[in-house]
Amino acid sequence: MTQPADSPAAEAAPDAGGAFPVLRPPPRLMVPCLSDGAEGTPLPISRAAGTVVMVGEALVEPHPSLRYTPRAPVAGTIAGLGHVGLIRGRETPAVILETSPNQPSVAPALPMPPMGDFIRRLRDASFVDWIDRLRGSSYWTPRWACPDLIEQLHRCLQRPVDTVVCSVLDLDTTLPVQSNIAAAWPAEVVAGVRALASLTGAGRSWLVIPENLPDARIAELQNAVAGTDVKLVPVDNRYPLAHPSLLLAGLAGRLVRFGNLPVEQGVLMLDAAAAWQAGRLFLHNMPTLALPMGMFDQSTRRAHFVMAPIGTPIEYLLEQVGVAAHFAVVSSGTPLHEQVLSSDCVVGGVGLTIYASPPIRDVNPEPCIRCGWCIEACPVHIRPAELLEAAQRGDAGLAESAGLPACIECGICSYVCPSNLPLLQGIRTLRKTLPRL
Amino acid sequence: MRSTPVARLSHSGIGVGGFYGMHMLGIALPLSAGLLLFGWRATIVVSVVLVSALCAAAVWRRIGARGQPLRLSQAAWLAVLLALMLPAHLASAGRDATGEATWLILPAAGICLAIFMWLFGGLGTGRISPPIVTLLLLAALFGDRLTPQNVLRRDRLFVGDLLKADTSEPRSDRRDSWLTRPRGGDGDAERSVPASYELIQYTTGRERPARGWLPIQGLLRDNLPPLEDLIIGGQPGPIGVASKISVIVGGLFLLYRGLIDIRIPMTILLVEFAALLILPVPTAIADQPLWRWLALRDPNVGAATAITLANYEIMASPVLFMAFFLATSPAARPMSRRARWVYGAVIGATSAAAQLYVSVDFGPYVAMLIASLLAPSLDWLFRPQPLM
Repeated sequence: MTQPADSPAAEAAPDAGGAFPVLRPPPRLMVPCLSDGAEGTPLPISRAAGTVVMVGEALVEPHPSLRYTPRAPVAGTIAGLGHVGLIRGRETPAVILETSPNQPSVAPALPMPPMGDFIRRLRDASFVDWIDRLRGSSYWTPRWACPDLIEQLHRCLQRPVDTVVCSVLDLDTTLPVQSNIAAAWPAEVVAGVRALASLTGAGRSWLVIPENLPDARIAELQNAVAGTDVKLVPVDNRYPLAHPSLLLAGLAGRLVRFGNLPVEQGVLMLDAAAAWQAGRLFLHNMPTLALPMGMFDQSTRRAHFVMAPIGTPIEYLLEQVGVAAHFAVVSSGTPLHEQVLSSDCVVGGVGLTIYASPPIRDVNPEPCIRCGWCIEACPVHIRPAELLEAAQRGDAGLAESAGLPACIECGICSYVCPSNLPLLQGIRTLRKTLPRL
Repeated sequence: MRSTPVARLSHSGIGVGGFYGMHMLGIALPLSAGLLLFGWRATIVVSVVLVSALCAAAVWRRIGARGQPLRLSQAAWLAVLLALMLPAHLASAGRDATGEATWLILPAAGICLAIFMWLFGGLGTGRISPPIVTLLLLAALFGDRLTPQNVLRRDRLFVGDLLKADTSEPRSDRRDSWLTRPRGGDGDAERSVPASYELIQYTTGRERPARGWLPIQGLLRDNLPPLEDLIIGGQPGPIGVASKISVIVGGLFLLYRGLIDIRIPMTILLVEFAALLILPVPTAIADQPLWRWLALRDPNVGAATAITLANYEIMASPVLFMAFFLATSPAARPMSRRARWVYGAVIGATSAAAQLYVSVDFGPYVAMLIASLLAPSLDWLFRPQPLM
């Protein structure tokens, strides 16, 4: 949005929408290949080095352990297999793709068919076929505010859902990626929600929007949902309400523990970006080759939005929008969530929001003064200070009784703690050491 | 045990020093009111207690593992609280009737405070409030010497000398208010019997009526000052406790800034008020006191009189100060919200009983001390229910 029109990053593309100028692809992309098993899963077999691939062509041989089929965001030459970083220090294999210069990253838009047609097409194929088609054509990763869609659809085969909830809420309203996506592509977002409701047999479809959205944007969304079963649900969006657990508890009174899928409570949940991806596939049969990204420069307090090819290194992304010179730390999610990214992270594995921050302050924690601010501020009513104590002692009983399973890792407790206690880090340590909780 | 530095991307910016600093802002109004009402001697009391507590804390924090959690910001906060609970006449170079120098109580109070902080645990660990224990210790050791007797005249605020009181007997005419009393007269200050003394004499049945019969109405009319004097502060009292209106406004500031939880002061005051109406009090004193539960049901007393007596009990005691500034202290109160209701109710009920039958001046402090010892059990009983 704040991206100047003549920026080197900006490149006109017909389907990018005004909100997300298309980023010129870097000379080398690292397209991640996320597999189901975190550890010990065999590496995907890349196509031979030196193979020239066209836009949208598969980069690896099909393999059941792959969560999706990685496709070439731009035309280029496969250079081999490497590794890229994910959040929390995890790594994943990636296909190295050397791009051809001046390749557009996103295929041009197709004419939009009538809305009724794609619903009819959905009925022609089975649910499982559509899941496979989604898996093969788009890039799906779980985000903090959007559970893994493919996994949810698989669970829907065993446990039917009655509601599809698409959240247009942004966790951080200073970086409104989700609402910008909904504003730029309302038809695709609504189509994605309708299609998923039709596939899963859900009787209700809700598009949850922030109530302070500008009137013009609300009018666009109202036009998009007119004549459909999708209902607009405005809510007061305050951090971290956009988190699925809180949103579902507030909207439907259904409680989902951290790490569990909303499908267990009869709800299929996705964000506007996922709905947009699904809508593009259902409406235009277009795979997702680039993702709308939002970047926030903490030094200048400016937000930048671009459409970046999957596999673009984050460092390149920041360089292109002009924040490379002075950032020191890159994080994802929200500033309070404190997910620091490694230097080898790429677009596609780290969510849709990136924060470039000044150097991290090292602070000396004081003893807990029992002010109770962490408890007062906690949106899920747990006791973070006791969780830190449980982490220090390795006490699973204390961790459970203090509410570890309910914690959504929003980071508010760490933010407000006057003693600067590493509460969020303690909770993450507990989750690593006590995975059953 | 050294703390390990942690990397922090974002923080509200309010640290422990800031936390206590904001509390200091809340106490600024009662402190200012105390300095106005009791003059420069009050300034000396606050300064000596503060400096002695800081010096002692600086020494004690170097002693053993217990000393490490002691923080000077916390010591400063607690020292100011303690100073506000003391009477200003202690800042006197002269000797009292027993020949002892009363001013020595002040540095002793500061040093005791630091020692109690060390003993009970510093930042965040001590359940027992060091200022209250220090005050109760001083009360036990020095007794009547802590009883305030004087307040500055309205035309001698701050600049007057609290010990230059009218040399005549304590004023017996209770009907004229400190605010409307004519200016001038001998000395800078006025002497009067504290309302708390009159109340405890009556409610314990120790009062010996001059005319053979003293009903509650007689106590309120003849023995106690106008209620507005207690509200504004025109009566002898501890430095920060005397002006109830300034205590209330300071407490409201803390509430507004989100530093204290409204559940605690609200429950304390409501329960205490209700308990004061319910608990047995003498409806009249002749040869023997005539005790009656629920005095407001007695046709000879009535609701208006019983409620007025309860108002006096609250305004003459330090319960408001305790409810806003001491009971809400992070170390003393329970962590969970539901437990705070119970904690406030326990303090309110205990405080009412202690005020009626033990001491109006120290009853609320004893009640808080008892309730803060129950706080861990209350936290255990009323654990917050996570959303998921």
